[in-house]
This record gives sequence, C-alpha cells and structure tokens, in this order.
Amino acid sequence: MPKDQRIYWNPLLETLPREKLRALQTKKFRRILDWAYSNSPFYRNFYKEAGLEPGDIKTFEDIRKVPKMEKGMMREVQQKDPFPYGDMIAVPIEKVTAFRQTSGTTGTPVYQACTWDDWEWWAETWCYILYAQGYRESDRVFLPFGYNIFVAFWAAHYGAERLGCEVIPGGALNTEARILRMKDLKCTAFMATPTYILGMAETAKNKLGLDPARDLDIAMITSAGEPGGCIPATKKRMEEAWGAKVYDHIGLTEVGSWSYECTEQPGGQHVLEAYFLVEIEDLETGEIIEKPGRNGKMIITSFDRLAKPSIRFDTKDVIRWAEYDCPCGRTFRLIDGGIVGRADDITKVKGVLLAPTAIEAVVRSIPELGPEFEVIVSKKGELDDILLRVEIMPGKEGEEQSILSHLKDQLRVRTNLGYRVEVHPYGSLPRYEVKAKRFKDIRKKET
Amino acid sequence: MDISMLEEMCELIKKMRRDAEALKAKGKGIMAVEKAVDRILANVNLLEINVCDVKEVL
Ligand SMILES: [Zn+2]
Repeated sequence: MPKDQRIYWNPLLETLPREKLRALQTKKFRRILDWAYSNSPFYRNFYKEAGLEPGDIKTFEDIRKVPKMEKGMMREVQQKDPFPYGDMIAVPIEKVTAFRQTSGTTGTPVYQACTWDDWEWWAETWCYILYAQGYRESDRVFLPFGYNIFVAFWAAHYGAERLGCEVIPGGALNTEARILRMKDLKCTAFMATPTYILGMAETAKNKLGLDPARDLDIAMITSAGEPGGCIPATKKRMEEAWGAKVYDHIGLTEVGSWSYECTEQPGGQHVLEAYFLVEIEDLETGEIIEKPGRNGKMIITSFDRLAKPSIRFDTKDVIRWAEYDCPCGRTFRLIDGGIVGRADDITKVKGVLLAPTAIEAVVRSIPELGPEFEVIVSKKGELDDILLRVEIMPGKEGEEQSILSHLKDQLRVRTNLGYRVEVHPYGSLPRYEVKAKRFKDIRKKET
Repeated sequence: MDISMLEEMCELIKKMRRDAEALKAKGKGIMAVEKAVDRILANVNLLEINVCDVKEVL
C-alpha cells in the first residue's frame, strides 16, 4: 500500500524506483565530472594524467574507471593558488561565500570553499535528513555547539531554518546554561555528538538535579560526528537518558551530509542517493561491492557541490550495505550499522583485527558502567597489551567484581581479545564535546 | 505524480531561471539587484535538482 506522500521531504526523489535512481546517478555523475574537468585545474590535470575524459563515462559501471582522490591530495593542492584552497576549486575565488575546515585530527586541516549555491544545497540536504527524522515547522530546535570554524552543525542550523523550524543557537554557553535554556524554552529537539548528548544528561542530573527525560520536552535528538548513534547500546543509553528518540546522521566536511536514519529506525542509515553516490570497495581486491553484508571502504561522490567538487573521494571509512529494506518506503539504500570502522583505524592487536567501535559497543551495553572509557594499546616487551579504563556508576561499586567479569567475557566474545581492566572513580575519565579520543595506540611511539 | 504535472512544474522552473537571469542582466551594476538574484538562482538550482532532474530520467 502506498505511503502518505507527506512523510517525505521530496517524494519525487525519495521514492524514485531503483533503476530510475541509478539512471539519475549516472546522469548526475557525468554532469559533475564534466563540471570539474572544465572548471578545476586540479581535476583536469588529474584526469588527463589518467588518460580519462568526461566523455569516456557513459554507463553506471564506467564510473569505476574514474580515479579516486584522497584527503592528502586536498592538502597538497592548498599549497597552490588561489589562496587558501588551491586549484581544486572550480569557481572564481570571489564567488566563495563561506570558509570551513576539517578538524585536522589526522593532519593539516583541509579548507572547504562554498558558494552561496553550495551552502543552500547543503542546507537542503539537511532538510531531507531532519524531515525524515520527524522535524516539522512546529519544532523548536536547540543547537548546543560552539559555532566556529568547523562545519559541524552549521548546515544543520540552516537546514532546520529552511525546513521551517524555530532554531536557537546555543553557542557561547556552558553546558548547564544550555540545558536550562532548553528547559525554559521548552525545546523539542536538539543535535549534538553522542558523547555530548550523554555528557549533557550527566550534567543535568549531577549538577542541576534535573532528569532530562522527565523535566525537559525533548522528543528528538539528532546525533552526529561520532559513531555512537549507530551503536545500539550507545543509542539506547542516550534515548533512556533523554526520554527521546535518537536519530543518527553521518556527514563529511569534504563531501556533505550524506546519510541519515529515518523514524522507522531499521538498524541502518539511508544514503541520500539522489545527492551522493556511495560505492563500497573491497579492502583487499579493490572490487566494488554491490552485495549486502560485506565490509569495504566507502568511495563517495557529491553530485551537486560546485565550488570544491568531491568526486570519488576515498574516505577510508568502512561500511556495508544492509541486508534489509526500510519500511518507510524510501528507495535510497541503507548501510548497516553506520560507519563500522576506519580502514586506517582497524589495527592488528595480538594478531587480531580490532575496531575501536567494537569496544565501545560492549562498554556502552553494560548499564553499570559509566559512559566514558579509554583504551590504550601498548607493548609490554614483545607482546601487545590492551588496557581498558572504565568507570563504575555511582551506587554500583559493591558489584565491581561481577561487572568486570561480565565486561571481560563480553569483550572476549565480541573482539576475540583479552584486556587489562582498570576501574577509575566515576567522573574522572576525560569528557569530550567533539571528536572523542578514547582509543590510543602507543606501540609505534615506544619502538 | 503524473508526468504531465511534472513537466508543467519544470516549465515553470525554467521560466523562473530565464526571468531571474533577465532581471540580473537588466539590473547589472546595481548590487542590490544582482545579489538578490544570486540568492534566487541558488534556490532555482535546488528546484532543478529536486524536480527537473527527476523528469529527465522518467
Ligand atoms: Zn527509512
């Protein structure tokens, strides 16, 4: 039975039959390739060196012939004119109206240029996300983040406004003040990283004596910036703490806001396929994976971003197609469980491949443990050693032995590894607002 | 949505682009006109992405 079309932001694209969607993607890929070749010196040289011309790409399968580009290339071109972006940009510099940059956690920041067209486009992608998550004109949305040089929730702010929500910028306020403003103004939704969503709930309880689930009016939370929103145990904690639905979103500064969970919460995230092409590449063979359930790294193209095109960007993020469909009726494919790791983050410890997200999934699934933890991988002589630091929830200290034994069992089942576990006083491990650094591999430094 | 309705919408969007560009040309040198049209065109671009692109693959 057809769904009520009003559940979609744009039923024309969101319910497009798969074969038509693929035709649309091919057409849009060819268009952005042609644009980049004609307007960006970097892309023109890059493709010329590879012996490729835009006319060579005729079918969907031909797209795989287009060389991938990487973050390192984006950094290199910044040495060239025009300052500060380099010759990857495809518009005259005076047409750029917004500067943002990546956080630089993995090296020199990458600068992002947007024209007004790009910025409107970015806000529009957020409309697809927020509308699918139930945001409507009647919502009062609080943004408790530091409005600064990073793109973070800037586009979400503009997107929510575009959708018609009432948007409250909670920038230069501390956590307590943000919670109180959300309470006083009866906000119905907010957006933050999973770490901060949990941290705010803790602050509300411990410093303000408030129970967010009972004392605030939050019904929806959009979680972004870290994988927590895709990890069921972390999501459950957030939902219980706030008495609200938590929906995940995944975006990339270099590309755009490409993935989101809808209100059906099928366990995976839709890819905004009318705006982005996501390809999954086998980590060993390099072949493109179409079948569900197999992990590979994501290669992504942004179809409509013009000032600084992102074409076949090798993200190094590991994802997989879901084996299930979503009952919401959107034809956009789902990825299963969000970003399941980083191609360069998955490390061998004691000869076993370990993804830090697996440790998070275990720790966050045990309610007697605090929300924060730290993992330190080091060398003890010739052997790898994994130290896991955790906190026990107040009032549960007497159960330490049984909690730790359950934790170690679960870690062994989920990761095939043994850990040394240290218990720290509740509230003593670092709390992060963005880009939590809970996993530290110090083996290389020691050798 | 039936295809004829979609075609009508696309025609209106094309007309909006033509009109906005004509206005920009007419108002050349008047920043207040040029920049207002740029903002209008950014949204016409989204209508093209959201509506006209669909028509072309049906
Ligand atoms: Zn859905």
